[in-house]
Amino acid sequence: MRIFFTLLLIGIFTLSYAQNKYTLSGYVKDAGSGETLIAANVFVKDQSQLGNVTNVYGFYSLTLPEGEYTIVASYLGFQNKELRVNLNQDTRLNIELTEGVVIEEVVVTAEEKDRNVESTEMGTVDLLMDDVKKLPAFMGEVDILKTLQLLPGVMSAGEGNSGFYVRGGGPDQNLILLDEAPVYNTGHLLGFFSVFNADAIKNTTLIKGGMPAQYGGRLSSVVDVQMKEGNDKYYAAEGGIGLIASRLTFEGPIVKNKSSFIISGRRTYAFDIAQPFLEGTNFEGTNYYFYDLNAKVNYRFSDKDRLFASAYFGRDVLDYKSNQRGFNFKMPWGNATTTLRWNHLFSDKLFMNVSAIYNAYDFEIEGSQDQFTLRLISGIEDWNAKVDFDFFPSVQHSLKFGANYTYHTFTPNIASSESGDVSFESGIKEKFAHESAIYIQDNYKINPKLTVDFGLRGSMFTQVGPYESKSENKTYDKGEPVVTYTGLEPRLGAKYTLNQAASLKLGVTYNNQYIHLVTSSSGTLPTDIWLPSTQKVKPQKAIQYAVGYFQNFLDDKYETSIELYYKDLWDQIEYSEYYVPSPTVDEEDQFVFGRGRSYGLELFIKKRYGKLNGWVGYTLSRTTRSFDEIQGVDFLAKYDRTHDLSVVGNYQFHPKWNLGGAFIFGTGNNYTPLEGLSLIGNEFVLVFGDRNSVREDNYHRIDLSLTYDPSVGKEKQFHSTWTFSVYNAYNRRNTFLRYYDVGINAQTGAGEGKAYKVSIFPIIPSITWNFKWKQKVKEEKQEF
Amino acid sequence: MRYLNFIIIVFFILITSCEEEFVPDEATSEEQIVVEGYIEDGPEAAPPYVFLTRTASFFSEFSPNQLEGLFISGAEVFVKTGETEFQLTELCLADLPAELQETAAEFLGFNPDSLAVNICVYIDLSFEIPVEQGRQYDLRIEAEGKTLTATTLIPPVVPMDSCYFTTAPSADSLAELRCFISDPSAQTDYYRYFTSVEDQPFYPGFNSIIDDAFFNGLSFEFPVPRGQLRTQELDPATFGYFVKGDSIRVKFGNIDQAQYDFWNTLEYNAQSQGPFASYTRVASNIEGGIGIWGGISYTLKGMRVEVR
Repeated sequence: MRIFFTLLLIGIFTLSYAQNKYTLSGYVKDAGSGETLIAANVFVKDQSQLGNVTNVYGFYSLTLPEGEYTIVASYLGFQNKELRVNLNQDTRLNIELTEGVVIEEVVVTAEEKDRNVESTEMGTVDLLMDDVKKLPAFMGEVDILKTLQLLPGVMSAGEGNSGFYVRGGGPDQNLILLDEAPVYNTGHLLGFFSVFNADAIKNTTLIKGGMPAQYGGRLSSVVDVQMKEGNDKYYAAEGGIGLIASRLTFEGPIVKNKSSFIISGRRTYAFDIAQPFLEGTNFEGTNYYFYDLNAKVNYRFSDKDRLFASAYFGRDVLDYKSNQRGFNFKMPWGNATTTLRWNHLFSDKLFMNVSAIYNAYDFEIEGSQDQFTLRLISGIEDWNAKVDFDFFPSVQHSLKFGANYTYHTFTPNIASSESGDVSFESGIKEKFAHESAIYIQDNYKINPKLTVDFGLRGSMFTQVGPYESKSENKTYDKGEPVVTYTGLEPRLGAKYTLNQAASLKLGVTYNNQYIHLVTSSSGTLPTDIWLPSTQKVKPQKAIQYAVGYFQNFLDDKYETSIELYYKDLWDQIEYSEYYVPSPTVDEEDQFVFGRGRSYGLELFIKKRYGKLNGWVGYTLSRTTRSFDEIQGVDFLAKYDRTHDLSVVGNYQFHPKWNLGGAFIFGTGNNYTPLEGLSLIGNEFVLVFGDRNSVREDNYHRIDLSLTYDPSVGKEKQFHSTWTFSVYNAYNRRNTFLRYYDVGINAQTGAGEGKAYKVSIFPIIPSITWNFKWKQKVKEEKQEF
Repeated sequence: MRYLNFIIIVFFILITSCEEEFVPDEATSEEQIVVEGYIEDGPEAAPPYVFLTRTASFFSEFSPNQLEGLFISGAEVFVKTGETEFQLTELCLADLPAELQETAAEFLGFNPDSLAVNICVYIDLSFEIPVEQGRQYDLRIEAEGKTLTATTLIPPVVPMDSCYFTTAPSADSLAELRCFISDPSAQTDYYRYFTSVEDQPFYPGFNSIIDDAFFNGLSFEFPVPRGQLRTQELDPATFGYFVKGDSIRVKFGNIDQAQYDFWNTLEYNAQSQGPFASYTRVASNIEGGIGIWGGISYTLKGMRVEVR
């Protein structure tokens, strides 16, 4: 480790004190909306190794020897911009890019570097919302998490589910961030819809391979979602009306070119419409809906300081009434996040962001029957502070370093009940923990061919009181440390350029995960509970090795890659074979612990532009777990899927019509089969066989969408489109669950046992009307 | 809470779902021996007895012959308490005189009117085994070349206090039973209950067990839904309620933790299916086989269903 640091420091200092160098820095923005562009390329023409990408706030910095340069800024979907710069002093250059028509090949010049080949990161994908919106959407609801599932290495957790598994890791091993705030439960309606309202989202980055050191706390992947900042030039609105939900977003300047806002909302109404049909039935008054609200404001104090405040609030509400039995309950659940960020430029080379974040997920159910009432709450709440620096000492080095701290409050299922005048409480208490980390990461361009990423993350987790330790028979007071875990997490990535269009990459990543979600289901459920590492539950750990070959063809028209990975996981958690959920038993007392392994091959071919564009992603993989207390031998994890194929395409067959399609094929999920029946208590009881030893039939389906844009190419203030989509176009009955009905009378021996498989989504057509409106603006020259 | 996910699923999914029947693959693993044995202390208690059966594969059709073929004959079953070991006697209903068959069937929890097969049981016919609360009982079975063992305890009984009825919300002719117990605080207590209507056999409730985590050391009132077999038709409007005017009996007993775990997992296993509540294995206390060897101490209360 010491050698690592020494090398790092030598590298930085030798290069940062060279003579006659000046720094070119600034922001890259969308000329239309003023939104900053994340991961845009800024480089010297004809020397693409002299370049950098913008950070998450759109900031770039290039330190070059004195001289005249042609600087190129590029961003996919935008026209390249070339600027002549005479660099004889430190220079601030903000660059605005204009959205271009991607299908016209002129836009993309041979100069444009492709991140796929050029970056050292592996298994990193940026999703542009415009691309996401062209794909078929389930019930018309555009969903970034479902789009991610179409990429190799990312597998859907189940039919129609927004939950996903990355490279053999569980759903809790994905760090999902919305403006830096972790979102702990990403699903609405049992995960059939994700909580991210596409209209409010600017950019989504998925990292499934070498996780850079600024991210941590999860083993498998990072999904970093950035909310739009709001148009700082003119007012604009967009929205849509769909079958089950409607959306409306409004954005605009507060102080022109200085400050802007965006507010976005979505709500379902399918069950509201159904209310009249429930009148007079046993279920009168039963309702379900969900909604999302996103809001963000930002203010630029000066060229050096900018403040952002963003918030998300979403809820699912189920109101259930069974009038016949006098039974009813109300069940609200959802996430809330608030992020306050301050960007400060100390110099042209040193960028800082300070964030204060609050986020929470909570679930509640309150039910009553006669004089008996029951209330159950669960959830997780975080207070989080972090500081991150981007330091660009020379064109060869880009450093990131920083620290963060989180105070977690875990609310497991806490139940209380009242029966008449007597009230009861389950003995389960909240748990508390501090989690902190420091990190440093250097992207070092050793020579035009070789670039290396070194990173190191130091992490620490302390469970604190109040806590009653059963193993020690001891009571800990408020704030008193119960158990502390630490971890040193090295990260290494390297890229070797073979030629302009091909490169070889490798990565090794070691991660610790201190908080856990253990679920017996396949997807995300509102009742999922996050738990801390404790004396009994050790942090999960994983090491991943990956190599990849990246090659682009025909002026980057085609992008291809092959990646191989191997992953070792320790201290994995599963429920015991004898698990019975209970409000009176601490979840961790029903856990068992073991190891995991996953390895696979991922192929990816993408046609980036043209009238017909899209991609094919294929994964061949195997994921196993081994637990002493579950059979004692290796078994296939429920995240195992041998083959996983996605074919995604868009075809602009007419200027006004766009056809989108996705074909998905996957090896059937494994499950534990019913092996037999045993006669107990005058009844037949199910006896199960070996864990996950049988597979469902293969999963496949096609989704299609047709978008009609009547006013394409016209500059209109009001613009609307129609999208017709079909989920599961050939009505494939993919098995969602199976159940057994033992109708055998144990006294007479008469009857029969029946087994059923249930598929939930047949062919589902939907129609959505989307619109955009923008304020009339006079053409003007805009300055930052 | 156990039904929570189930309720959500039913609520949402059945809207669009489609189901089809399938025949599961034939079981590939060996048959296992299933033990169901009890040792009871309470009014009208049966002498210690053990059923021995084999696991059956999940055929789509069943017959009385197949059911009868599950019972294992010719095994040797021993119960040891203290230093003394007693052997149980194999007894099949068909061996008994006709007038005794009915009584014996009821004793073992079967409904004699519908019983169509020859049930065999290993039982302490000599009434030699001393049945006492606080005592440990070791079971040993030699059957089909295998040895199976198990241990249980008869815990001290916590008597049921008073009970009363309230009219059910769904119909005036039905009533819900509510009872009190005063739970001792000294130890964790595990309870199991059964009900019997009009001299029919005792059936456990769908959720027949509870521990005292919610009410340790308290006097506690709780609903006692009518017990029934899971194979009986379930009517949501009447499920768990008693018919006014009937005479009923409630058997309320204490069991040890192993037996609580067994019924807890068994009842959850019977009620939960599908991906949102993945399988749960039944926590057996039998070494070398599956099933239960359980001690229980209980009180019995008879009453007429009346709302005062």
